[in-house]
Amino acid sequence: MGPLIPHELLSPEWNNVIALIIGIAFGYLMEASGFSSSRKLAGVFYGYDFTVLRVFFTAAVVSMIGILYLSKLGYLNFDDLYIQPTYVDSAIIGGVIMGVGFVAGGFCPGTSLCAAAIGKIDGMVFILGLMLGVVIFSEMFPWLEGIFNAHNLGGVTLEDTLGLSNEWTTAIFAIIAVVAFYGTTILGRYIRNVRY
Amino acid sequence: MKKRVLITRKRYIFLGFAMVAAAVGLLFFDGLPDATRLQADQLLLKSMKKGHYINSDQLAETIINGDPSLLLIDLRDSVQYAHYSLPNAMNIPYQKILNKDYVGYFDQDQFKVVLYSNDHLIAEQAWLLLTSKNFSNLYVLEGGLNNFFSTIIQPKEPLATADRNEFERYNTRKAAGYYFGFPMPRTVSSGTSSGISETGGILKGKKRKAITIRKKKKKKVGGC
Repeated sequence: MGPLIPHELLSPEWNNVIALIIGIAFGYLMEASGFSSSRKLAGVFYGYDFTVLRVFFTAAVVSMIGILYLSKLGYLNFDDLYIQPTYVDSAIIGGVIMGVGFVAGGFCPGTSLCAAAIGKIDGMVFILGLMLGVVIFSEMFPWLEGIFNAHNLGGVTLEDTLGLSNEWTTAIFAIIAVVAFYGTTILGRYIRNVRY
Repeated sequence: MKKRVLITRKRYIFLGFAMVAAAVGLLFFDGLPDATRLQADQLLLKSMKKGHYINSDQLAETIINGDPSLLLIDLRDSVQYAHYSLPNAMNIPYQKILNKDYVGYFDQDQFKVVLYSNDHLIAEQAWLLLTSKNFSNLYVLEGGLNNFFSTIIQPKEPLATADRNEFERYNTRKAAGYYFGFPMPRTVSSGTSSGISETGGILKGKKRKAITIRKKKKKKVGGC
């Protein structure tokens, strides 16, 4: 049955409508989780607040479980899902830049928009920086193209690289998630109460 | 306050367990039987009814009438296809029928797809395979190309004592033969291994090139 648009159950015009609805829900939940506060987001790096880890880990595991059940129940054709190709060099370099930007700015792109939406000035400044980064990257793209496209592994998954089935990967991730949640809760007890 | 913390903690413990249980459950859940596939007994019944056969006379009539919904699929290899085939037929060798590039020709409900090979055995196997995937509007040319040639291109003249219908059918077949470029009496050369007349090339008609149908994958962009 699914994915709905590639299987022509919905026309492609619905793409933006669905994106808008999901975007609003996503933004609402991020704001409700307190993700419009850069101090809360940076807390995961400094070790005084692990909400980011819990929220994103939960989101990842829930979607993994959801996709596999939908696929097994025949509502979703797993093979038709688009898997983002893995560009090794870009992933490492981009990951480092993103990480530094996250710690320094206190936001990731989505959460900065969330913060700007509720009128936070640091969020707005972050978006300006983001735009500047996009312009610089686009202008420099002809020089960066070689690095950008290097070592393209294609749409690989853990099943392809480690030989682990999707079910096992999901089960292992779920257990790691719960252990991480418990561990960070215990850790939280020993951390000095940081006011932010 | 303490009670509230306790309740919250219990809720988290429960949710954590539920998440792990759901994930571990995946290891033991093989999924429902694929609703898009026909069950074996239904397939057998469908196959035994023989409703999917189309005979040479029906096919000739459909081709001559220029039915735009007709899609002829030649399941033989490209060498045999290049040698001769039916007019406007498309070549999809039977090994490739489930190939992603070609399956779009079978998984549709716009065309009446007629599968054929030299006899009808390969076409019948292909029909079984495709029908088991719940594809519809698929037909098999009874007796394949060999039967088509022996009935339409080289029809046997009925005996003088045969009934009128036999003669009518013979005349229709003769006329159909004209349409396919074989005037009577048929000039069959003994040299050709296929046993087709020298003008057999006419049968090829205008070839259809198989156009790859790929389902478009939507590009997604992600990020948090």
